[in-house]
Amino acid sequence: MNEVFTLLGACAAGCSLGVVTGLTPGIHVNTVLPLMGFFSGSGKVGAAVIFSLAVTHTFLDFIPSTLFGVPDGDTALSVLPAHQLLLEGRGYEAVKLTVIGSLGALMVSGVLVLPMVYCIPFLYNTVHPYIGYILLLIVGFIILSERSLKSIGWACVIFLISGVYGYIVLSNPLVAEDFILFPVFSGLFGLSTLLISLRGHSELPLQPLDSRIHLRPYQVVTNILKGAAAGIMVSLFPGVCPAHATAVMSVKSSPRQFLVAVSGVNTANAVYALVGLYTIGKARSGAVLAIQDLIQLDFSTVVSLLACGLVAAGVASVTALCIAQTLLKMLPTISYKYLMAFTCSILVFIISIITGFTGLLVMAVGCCIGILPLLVGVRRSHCMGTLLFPVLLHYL
Amino acid sequence: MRDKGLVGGATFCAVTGLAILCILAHGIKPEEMEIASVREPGAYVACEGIVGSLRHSGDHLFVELFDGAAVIVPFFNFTGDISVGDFLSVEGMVSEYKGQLEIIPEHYRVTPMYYGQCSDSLFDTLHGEFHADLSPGFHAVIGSAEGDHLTVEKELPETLFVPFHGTISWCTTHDTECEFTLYGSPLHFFTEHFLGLGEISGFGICIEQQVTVLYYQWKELPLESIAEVKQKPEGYPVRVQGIIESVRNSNRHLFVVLTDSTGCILIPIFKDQQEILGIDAETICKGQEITVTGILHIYQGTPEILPEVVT
Repeated sequence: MNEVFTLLGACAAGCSLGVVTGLTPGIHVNTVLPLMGFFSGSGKVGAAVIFSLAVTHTFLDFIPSTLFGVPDGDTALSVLPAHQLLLEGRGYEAVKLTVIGSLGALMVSGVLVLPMVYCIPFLYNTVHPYIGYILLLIVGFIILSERSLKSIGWACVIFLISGVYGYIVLSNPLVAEDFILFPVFSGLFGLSTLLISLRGHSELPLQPLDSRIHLRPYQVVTNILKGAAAGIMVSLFPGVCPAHATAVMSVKSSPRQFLVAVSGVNTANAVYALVGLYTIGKARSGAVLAIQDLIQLDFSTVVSLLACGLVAAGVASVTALCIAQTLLKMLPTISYKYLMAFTCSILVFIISIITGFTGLLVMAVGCCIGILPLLVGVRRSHCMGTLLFPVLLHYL
Repeated sequence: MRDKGLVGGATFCAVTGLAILCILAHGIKPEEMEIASVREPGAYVACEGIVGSLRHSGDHLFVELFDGAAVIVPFFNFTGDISVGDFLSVEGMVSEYKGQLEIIPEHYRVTPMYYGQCSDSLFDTLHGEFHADLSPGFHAVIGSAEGDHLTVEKELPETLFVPFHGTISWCTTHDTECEFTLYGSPLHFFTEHFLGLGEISGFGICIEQQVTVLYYQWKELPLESIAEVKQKPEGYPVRVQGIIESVRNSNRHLFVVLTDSTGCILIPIFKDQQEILGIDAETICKGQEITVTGILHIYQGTPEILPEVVT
């Protein structure tokens, strides 16, 4: 019984930290993991803190990207659809969809854990040699799914420019490795969205806090399953990050469907990364790597951590919705232009502090690239060439 | 398409920005430093040293680079050729993995090394003898060989290396290497060549009590009389020659008493060891002359030799 209370305490600590990392732009789970040295030698308790933190983070990190257009690597592609809903007065629905997506994916992942314990080693060994070709197929599919030849041409151009951009910034020490994705995604998906939004909107509409969502139940379930499936893919293969899976998710989805799926990817990834460590001994996320340092995983530990994850998910869902409600009540009282200008300034300030002048330059170039799909009317996921192109070069 | 001017402007800015980033990236020079000074994750550094050990994991190769201190250099999906003892120059970003610093290589260069001992301008290495302009003693050099002549281009300081000399008292083989210890030394030695009990001298690099042998000269243990052997301390490697005085077979374990003009000593040959030693319990018999190399063991106050090689 004592152990249960200890784990619940660890879970509470993880949730608290996850709320902070999720709401603070530029702070990823990996950024605070060095602080977890405090838990070294604490075994299961430390692992419970880290896992709860990782799960909670995936619920909260959509709030800054939805309300302020400030993304991180995991939420980058959600900025535009979420912000679109915000500008339609449906900000609460946007946050709620991400919470539903995360919670649903966590439940699906929990149910699938047992079969996955047996399937993951098989899937890993079968698909691993072909991962480069699979990614190439995914890229081709995303580009060719554009509506017209002209759009396909633009998609190719944007993918290539993003790819060269990714290759330059990710393979050179322009900015410290731990922080490089912050200016990259802030430029590609954050600043560009804010600047384009500023052109047409001077006021943020009222944000009613009604609990309706404009998706049919089967659409919700389908997209939760899509998110969970993509989460498995991310947790299995090196070089495939949530953003890659997100890019696949973005094809032929409405903004609402997309938000459910994309939020599910990150949460499912948190779960399957743990299962992946247990089954194939590969740590595919910073959080799981930290857990690996703390404890030797056995099945009962995995189950304990998943239970902590479920508790954390419950707490994080309520917390995310409460925080979103509070912020959405405040937002319409502020001029949208001032809010966006303030957000841009904060973004520029934080990036200049963390990454210096070079980081600002990286963000500015990313912003120019990120504006292109909005202006020419193609899907924004082509900007994911930033990550996909270097990975393709590596594998092919 | 909307905003043609803006599209053109954004494209121009993106391409120009990429060019500037490219120039900036090209202009970044790594900081040349010794491995002991590599502390900060995210730093772009250039280090060079000797390949102390290699560990393969799937397609990945993990190199331990040594210049007096050691750091891991992981090569992912590696298809090149690196051997223990090579001189490796590497440029890359410092990263931390499981609390251990690594240099993730961006560029690297591998240069083969020559390790050996020079006397009378003749440089003896594990790959043959060369005429070289070197002082007597151990040397680790980069050079170019033409026939049997070696032109030395660079010599590494001898402070990097630990010389050793002693008697191998234990050895075993792993997949691709041989591990051994010297009598009275706490160090463990590793080499790509299989070695048995014997006298050895040479030099290598020492990382945390483990010595990677780069050059050695090995010779058999000298033959000693049984009386001399009995004076040795327990655990000492010995080599004796004598006549089999008696053979007792107990539960397929053989107990051979070996005698020479100075005395006799028991050689227990346990059943699981007989195949390794190439001994047939049916053919070994009294009156045969054999040479035994093994470890002196004291059992209930009586010296005996645990055999490693019987000929």
